Amino acid sequence: MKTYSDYEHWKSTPLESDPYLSIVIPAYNEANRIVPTIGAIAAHLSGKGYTWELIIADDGSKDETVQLVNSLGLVNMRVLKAPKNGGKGSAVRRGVLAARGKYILFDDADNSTPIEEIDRLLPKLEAEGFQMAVGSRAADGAQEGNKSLKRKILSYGLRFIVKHFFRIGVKDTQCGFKLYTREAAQKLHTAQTVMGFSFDLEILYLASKFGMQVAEVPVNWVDAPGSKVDPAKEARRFIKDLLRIRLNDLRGAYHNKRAAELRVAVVGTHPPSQNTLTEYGYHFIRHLRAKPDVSEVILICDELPAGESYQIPSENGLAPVTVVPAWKFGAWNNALRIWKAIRQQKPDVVLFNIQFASFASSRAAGYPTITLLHNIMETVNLKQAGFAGNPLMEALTRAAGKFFTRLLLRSDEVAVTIPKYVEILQKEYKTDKVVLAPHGAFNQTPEPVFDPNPAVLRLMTFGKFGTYKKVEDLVEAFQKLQARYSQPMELVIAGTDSPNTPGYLAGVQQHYAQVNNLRFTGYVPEEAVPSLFTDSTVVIFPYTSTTGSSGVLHQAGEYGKAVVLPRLGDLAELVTEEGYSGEFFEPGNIDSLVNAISTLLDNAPYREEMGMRNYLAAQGLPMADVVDWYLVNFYYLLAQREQEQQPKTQTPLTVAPAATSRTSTRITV
Amino acid sequence: MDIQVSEQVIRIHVIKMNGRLDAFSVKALRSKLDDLTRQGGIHFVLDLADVSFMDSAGLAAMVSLLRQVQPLGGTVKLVRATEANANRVLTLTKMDRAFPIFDNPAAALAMV
Repeated sequence: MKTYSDYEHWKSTPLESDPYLSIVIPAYNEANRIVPTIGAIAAHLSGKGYTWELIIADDGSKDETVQLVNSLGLVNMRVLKAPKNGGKGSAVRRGVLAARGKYILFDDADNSTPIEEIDRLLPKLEAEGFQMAVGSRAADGAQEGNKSLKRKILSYGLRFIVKHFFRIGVKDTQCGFKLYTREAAQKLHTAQTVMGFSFDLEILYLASKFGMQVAEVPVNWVDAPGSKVDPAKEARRFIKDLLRIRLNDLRGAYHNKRAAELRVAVVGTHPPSQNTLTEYGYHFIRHLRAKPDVSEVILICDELPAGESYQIPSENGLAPVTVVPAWKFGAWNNALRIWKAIRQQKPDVVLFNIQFASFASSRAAGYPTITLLHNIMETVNLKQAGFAGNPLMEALTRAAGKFFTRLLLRSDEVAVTIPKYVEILQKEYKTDKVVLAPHGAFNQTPEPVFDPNPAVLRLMTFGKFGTYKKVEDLVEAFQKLQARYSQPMELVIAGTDSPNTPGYLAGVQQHYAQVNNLRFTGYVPEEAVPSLFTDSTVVIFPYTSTTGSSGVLHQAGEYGKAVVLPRLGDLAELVTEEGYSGEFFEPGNIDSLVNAISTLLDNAPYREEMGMRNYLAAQGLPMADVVDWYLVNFYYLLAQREQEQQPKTQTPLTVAPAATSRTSTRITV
Repeated sequence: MDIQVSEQVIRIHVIKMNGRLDAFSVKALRSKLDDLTRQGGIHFVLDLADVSFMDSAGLAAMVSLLRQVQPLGGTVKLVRATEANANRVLTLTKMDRAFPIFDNPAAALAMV
């Protein structure tokens, strides 16, 4: 009775994690046959000692199939209802892509192959390393019962064609009893194009094409009464589908599908590195990992100080990250080391996200490359940015900037975050390689709750300070504001020094040691970012020069915060282009800053309205979507490369397929 | 006598928009597209002819749709906006490479 109690448990207790086995049953008008099949499966698998789920992939049944199986009340059974009949292949595809099991069995609804046969197939995958095991009525040792003469002739004819014209080693391609590893199942069914009777053949064709190991296992098989196969009709369709599969392959359809396994190298920073753009790098990689067509992210990052290491936890449903520390901020040989790392990793595409240090463009390494520039030399006010002290130095710095920009334009594409930058670079460098790829909001956050009367009026600024982000004027302004308001106030300076100005914040802290309610947080770990923003009344941007598209502004938007911005061209453009809103001040003018902050502190409804506007702007363009744009561009570059290599072949731009569920449990370095 | 019969069996959703397609109005478009894809729609013609302005957020909804339906064999075609302000973001992002763009809905439908 152990089996029965196991069945009861399976029936009523939802699985807590991904199961060991998923059984997918395609069903079209199976009301008469499916319940005994489910019963047989449940009876056999209960007590096996592993977890399993059942997926009924309806194919637009017109009878009571869906209602019937739903009425069984099995909590670990999912019924995928299709609005219309799309063919058995479409139902199997839907079911397999929704399956979460380590192993996935596709099993016909008529129980033609008894479920007990799975005990023969599983060891092939578990112990022998096959990626697929197919039940076979033709392999040595198989037994066929009740098989009609007509069906025997059909089977023989089809086997002959498959073997001699398609060189598929499996003798029985059509048996509705196939077991895969989840990785194999997802890859094969993502690439699948045939949705009718011959979909099995295409899957085996693809398995062979993708170099998968397939075991053919003899099984018992019974031609179940009520089988829906009309042999002559299906043979004609089968031949037609065979030709279609071959034609698909010749046209490169499967080749494009294989591009779905995209390995993306990102050259940039990532926490716990405290170098520039870590926040952006962290979120970009997080979203990239979640794209179903990305199979691996290779992070070519900066080396950490002794004793520190990158910890990027593995998460189910996210692509793994291979971490390759290969450069150091300011080191002379970065370009060569990055180039070597890329050559060694052999990614499909490369994204550079290290600003002007990106001149180690991997174009030379031969991979399609996009370089992301968050700001451009043409709009930086070097004097205000503190990069140059006299006109000669300024001219030299600008010339160097132009030189590096030209080097960056050796990438296949240069992405910039503000529309104006595209137009400036296009004009200045007479190039058509520049594309707009906005910053995007890091997270999709719930609608903010506005507090009109906070106990403490908390002003907050966040970033890497010392070059063009300077806090002295803000601290001066804060002193004036504290004198003006009776309410408790606090100024939070969150973040660290810019790598170019070590010791800057410590100097400021020492200089203003007498100022009350001034708090320096130092490095803000990712998990502390939400409370940093939500606890703030107003977020302030004490910038003296252009910043490009500000990540902090997007974060302020995510948390629905009112902001005080410097009247600088790029930020004003960003506000117009992406719909953000802010109270502006004149950079370098403390009274202007005091007034802008007061305007918001004095007017709670205005603060709330601005916060909500910024929230909606952030929600309108999530970074997850921006990552899609990069992928679309990468696929374009890949297709372009392919065309270059085959000048006579037209390769259309294809956006990689997105599987409806994740392929595997990912392992992270 | 010459008899020609053509039967249209592909379901195509033609979505006509007007006014501004930006961060504040895009939610409605996303919601509509989600409904249609949930119902199995994979072929779309997005008619931008009367859109006066489109920003990155508006475009993001369209790219997101493209990425969703293309792996399923679906298509997303655009009808060109008459306002330059609505086409600018398509050009700047080079997403005009990713979408087939037509002058009117009839031309877009003819090419499905």
